[in-house]
Amino acid sequence: MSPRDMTEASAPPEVICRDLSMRFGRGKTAVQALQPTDLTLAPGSMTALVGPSGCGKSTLLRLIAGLEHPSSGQVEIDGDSPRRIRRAGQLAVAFQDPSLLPWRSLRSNVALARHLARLPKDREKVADLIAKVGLAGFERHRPAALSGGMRQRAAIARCLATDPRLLLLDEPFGAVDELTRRRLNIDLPKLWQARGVTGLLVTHSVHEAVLLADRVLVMSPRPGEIIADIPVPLGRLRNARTSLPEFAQTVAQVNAHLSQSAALP
Amino acid sequence: MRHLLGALAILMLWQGAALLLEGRFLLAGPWDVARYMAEHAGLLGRALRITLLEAFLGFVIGNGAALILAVTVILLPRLQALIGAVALLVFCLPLVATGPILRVLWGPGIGPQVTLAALAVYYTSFLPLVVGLRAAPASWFDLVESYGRGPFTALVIIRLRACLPYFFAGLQIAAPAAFLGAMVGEFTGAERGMGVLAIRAMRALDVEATWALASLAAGVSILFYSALGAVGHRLFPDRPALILSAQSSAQPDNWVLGMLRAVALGLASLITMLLLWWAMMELGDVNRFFGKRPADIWHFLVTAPEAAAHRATLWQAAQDTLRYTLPGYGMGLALGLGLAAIFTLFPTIAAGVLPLAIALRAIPIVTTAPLIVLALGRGATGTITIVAVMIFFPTLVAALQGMRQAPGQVLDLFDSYGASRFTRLILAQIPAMLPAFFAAARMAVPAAILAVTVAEWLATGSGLGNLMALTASTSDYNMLWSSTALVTLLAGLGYALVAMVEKRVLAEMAPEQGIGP
Repeated sequence: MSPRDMTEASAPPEVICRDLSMRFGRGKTAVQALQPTDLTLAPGSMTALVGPSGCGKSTLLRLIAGLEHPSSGQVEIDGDSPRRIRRAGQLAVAFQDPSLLPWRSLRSNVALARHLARLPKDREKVADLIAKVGLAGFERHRPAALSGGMRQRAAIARCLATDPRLLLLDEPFGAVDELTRRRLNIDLPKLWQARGVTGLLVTHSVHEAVLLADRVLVMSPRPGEIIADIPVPLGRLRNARTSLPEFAQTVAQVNAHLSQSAALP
Repeated sequence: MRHLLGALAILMLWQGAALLLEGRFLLAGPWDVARYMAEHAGLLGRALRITLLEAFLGFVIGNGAALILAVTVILLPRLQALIGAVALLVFCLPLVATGPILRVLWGPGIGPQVTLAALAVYYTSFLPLVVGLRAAPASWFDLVESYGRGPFTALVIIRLRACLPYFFAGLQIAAPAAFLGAMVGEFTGAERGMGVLAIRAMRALDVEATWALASLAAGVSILFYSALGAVGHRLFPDRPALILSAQSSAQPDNWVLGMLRAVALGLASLITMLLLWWAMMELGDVNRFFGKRPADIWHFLVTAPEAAAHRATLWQAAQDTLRYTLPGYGMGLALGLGLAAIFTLFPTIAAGVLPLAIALRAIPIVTTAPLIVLALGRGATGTITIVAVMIFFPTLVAALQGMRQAPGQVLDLFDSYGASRFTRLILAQIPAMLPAFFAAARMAVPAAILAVTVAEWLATGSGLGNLMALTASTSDYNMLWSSTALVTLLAGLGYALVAMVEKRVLAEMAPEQGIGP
């Protein structure tokens, strides 16, 4: 299948990780970042990954993106290596920091994703996305002139500019204050939930995980492994339902697993 | 305003000294210099135009070469250590010898001067470029990779733009260096230009002309240095303080492995240099009488019947050279460091002195060497002074800028305990300065060798500089190539030695300040 065929096959992909593990360094200073892990992300689902700092959440995400090579095991995306979906320009990753190029305007930063993915220029789409993330009027501004929350939103707009089939979000709202984060949690998911993507969200906010995902995975402290797999029983677009008891119950359930795993011996 | 006052003070001191020393054929005051310049405006203008043209061409070619080398290193990171080492060795080639050799290769015209100007700038531009091409957060490269694009796209989209402030900082240093290269090139037998006039004036003991030419060279250098600095400041307001950092590689697990790696790198770069040398002679089909090959030099120094005598001559000259170089090098570093410490203890002075020191740093001291010969004579004092002065200004500027790197919060901590300025200097500012100081100390090694060889040739009549100049004029090309190789080797070894000390000290004192792999 050539990359062009994949563009036309726009259904969200299935991601399968088999026996995936990661070890950094060697000898005495080696660090086991991720215990052998099996994981399947269903097509069109959004999965959240929560766990304490340094437990390997981001490593797992980077392995799925193919930005790191696993020490063992493999990642299959629709039966192929991550390299293929990357080369087809159908993957988008939001990194912990917004990673905007400081010498480019907001518009040019968003458009960069299309350039990198070898897609034709689409000024309307870029303008539309900028408006949807609430940054209309700032198109010509450089990142330095934007606030932290605005930069995060710009990064999300860049992620969506290529209509990705696989969306990997690595604490995309990690660097913003709590109030901004709550607003972004409500505004931005609408953008990708309408599109039909397979997604993975790494976060350490339990509230955010339950709010945005169909399923929450809890990881143990290093060496990380998945210790709980909790379905979220609420329908999508659930930001109006955070006051329901099911929401609070799910949050409590995730928290219980987290504190259990973090308990000192 | 402060700059103006500083400049005025210097002019007055200069005039005062000239009046004091009147009649001793040492010093021409600013008044005499200005009069000489006005009277000979046509002559000086024509010479300056030629030298500027050579410097400009060398500047463009040298920086272009630096860019190509740096991009190669980025795209082929495995070759970085080797390319860096060979680039350094080529930079260490003594201009005093390469001048005459290039003169024969190029024939008459401006070829040798342009080549020497390019050689004088490419290494100091190469180093900041390599740092600059890497000066971007890892996540930017992840972004490019996440869309399936490779190193070439990252080079175009990220690195080439991100390196611009560093490139500009390199250009600023390169401008005076190109002028120096062009002038030294003219020393070695050009027909026209500032360097020709300077040599002529010095030989004729024409004090006014010597001072006028040196002032003109210094003024032009300061002008270009400041102009490029101002443009850079405009374009990149938050550009980094330029530190020609060590290209540190991943720390080896133990020092035996580190030593082995260093020796292997040394051998590999030596072999590469010999291959380059041989290939240039063979491919250029250079006349064997003049263009010696490595094998000829081996025969000359090892297998020939008179080899022992040749080696003795060379060794004697090397000893003479080292006798001047080492004290000059030490004095230059110590003076720069000491003055920087004093200025840091008394910050009000430093605020006034730093811009002045930065301006004076731009003067290619070697182009004023005839002055120092005039003032201090042809003995050891003059030569050691030339070396020390050559090193002094860059060291002072680097040390002052380095001491400013001490984080404000750390200084606040010291203040909160009422610590004295001296305590602050010893415990916070000097450790913060070390990376910048060692960077300057490393770059001072080739600078010292350049200064000492030029001084020996123009003044003392001893040492390797004199041997190279002498053998160039008597067509003793075996000896010329041998001393060139020896000088390059010594400079490379000296640089490696300083780099080794640097690695040790920084690992102890400032591990967090090393530039990552």
